[in-house]
Amino acid sequence: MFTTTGRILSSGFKGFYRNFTVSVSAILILLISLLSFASIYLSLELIRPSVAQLEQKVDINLYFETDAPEEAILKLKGELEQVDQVSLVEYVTKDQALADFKSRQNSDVILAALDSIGENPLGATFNIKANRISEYAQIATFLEKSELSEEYGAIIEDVNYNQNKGAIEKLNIIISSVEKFGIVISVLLAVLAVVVTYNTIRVTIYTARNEIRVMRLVGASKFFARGPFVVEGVVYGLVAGVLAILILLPTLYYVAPFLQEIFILNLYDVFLGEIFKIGGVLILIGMVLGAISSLLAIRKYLNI
Amino acid sequence: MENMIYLDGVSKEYKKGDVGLQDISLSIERGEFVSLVGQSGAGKTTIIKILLGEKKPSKGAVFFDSIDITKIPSRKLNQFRRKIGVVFQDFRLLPDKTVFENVAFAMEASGKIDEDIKKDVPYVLKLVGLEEKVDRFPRELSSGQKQRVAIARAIVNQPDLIIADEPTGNLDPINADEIIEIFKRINSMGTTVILTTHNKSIVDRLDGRVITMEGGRITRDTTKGGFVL
Repeated sequence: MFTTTGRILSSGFKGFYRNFTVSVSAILILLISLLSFASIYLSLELIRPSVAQLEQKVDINLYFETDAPEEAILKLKGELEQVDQVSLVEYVTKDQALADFKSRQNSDVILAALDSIGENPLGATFNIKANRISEYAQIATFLEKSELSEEYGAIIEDVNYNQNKGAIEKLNIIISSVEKFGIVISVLLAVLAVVVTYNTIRVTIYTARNEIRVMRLVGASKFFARGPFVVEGVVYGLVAGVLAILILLPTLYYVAPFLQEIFILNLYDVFLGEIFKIGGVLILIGMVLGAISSLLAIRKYLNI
Repeated sequence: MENMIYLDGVSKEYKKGDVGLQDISLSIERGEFVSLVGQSGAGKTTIIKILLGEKKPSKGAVFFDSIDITKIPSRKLNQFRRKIGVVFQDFRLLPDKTVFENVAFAMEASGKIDEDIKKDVPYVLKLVGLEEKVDRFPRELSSGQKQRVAIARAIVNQPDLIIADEPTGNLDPINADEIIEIFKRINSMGTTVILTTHNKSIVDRLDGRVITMEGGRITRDTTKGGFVL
């Protein structure tokens, strides 16, 4: 068994470098496939924090009347936190609102005017965040009911959901479209990469079909005849995987600063931080793709 | 002599209704040198493919050492094929392997140990006169030399039977004669040889058993004869 495996490995490696031109073209195709996989992954990594940041910027603000009793406000806060779609209710008290307002102002006139009023003209506020951007509509429905209710109708001055509604819904559509489009493109690219790789390896095995026939006729088992081609496929994948990493590193090093201006993330840092994971997965995909393509492509020539 | 191969009422029909073989019954004894002659399409290659288990007959049974080879499952065929050495008209060497590796491949495929390979391969290459060419690739050899490599590969596992399908078809007369001499030598050591050929002078000179085929049938089977068509 060890002898057979050793012979298959040795034969596969010899086939790899003796058929150098064929090997190079198979590696190039695999390399393109792996680079497209890597680009898909990195693009998603790039978009994800931007989308998350946009989502973070969205919230619903609920403004209370200036004379709203704190007890009622806290009760509503408790009820809101029970709503499934709500992830966070940030309570800005009257005093906090005033302090924030003052800290934002650098005009003495306005500050003087505030002092002349003698009392705090600002009401308390809730900044409400949903788990997902699509869930704001449900929270708004809850708030609309509260606004009209006997209990809270008197203390709620305004809910700004209706003002932001259009913007939130648009953002919601854009984000879900980007996600869907990203998934569709990724799947399409992945399928394309697999098909192109399979076809390239199929052609290399087609050119060796007589060889496979002869192997069988001189007494080689299917395993023994198939082995070297599978080894070659695995080596194609291994080399393509390593090349993909060697290409991605300098490319990202130069491109990342430009991308960082648009998106928040530095892709080079992301790649470097996960180089063993990303590199390992790329090499693994390459090897598996090479091996499976060889296995499938050789099948019909072995049956003699 | 002991019966080695026996074809019992073998017919082969192809999908489009073409007839490859019609009711062939034939026996070959161990140690015989049989020439199978006939025009293209007479059925010679079909018989050889059936003997190698490459094709199954539509009807009939094919016995090799009393085993019906039509019943051997595909995954076990390779073990059966190790009893047979094959030589083709177009040599069919493995292009990316050296002369040594081409011959060694047949031994590796049958699981022989490295020591035997290192000992036997140079020996058979010397037998076919190619001891100087061990590291050459097939593309660096002449047609005659390629055919000698193919013969070395066929005999290295010391098979019971050598099948040579038009082995001289691509060779000049001098090389053809030399190749036939090698087959005669192999046969004189006890190996059964089946040779298909178009070449009248070779058959006449062999002066052995000649089976003549026409249209998928055996039309003549003479123990000592020449090429008659």
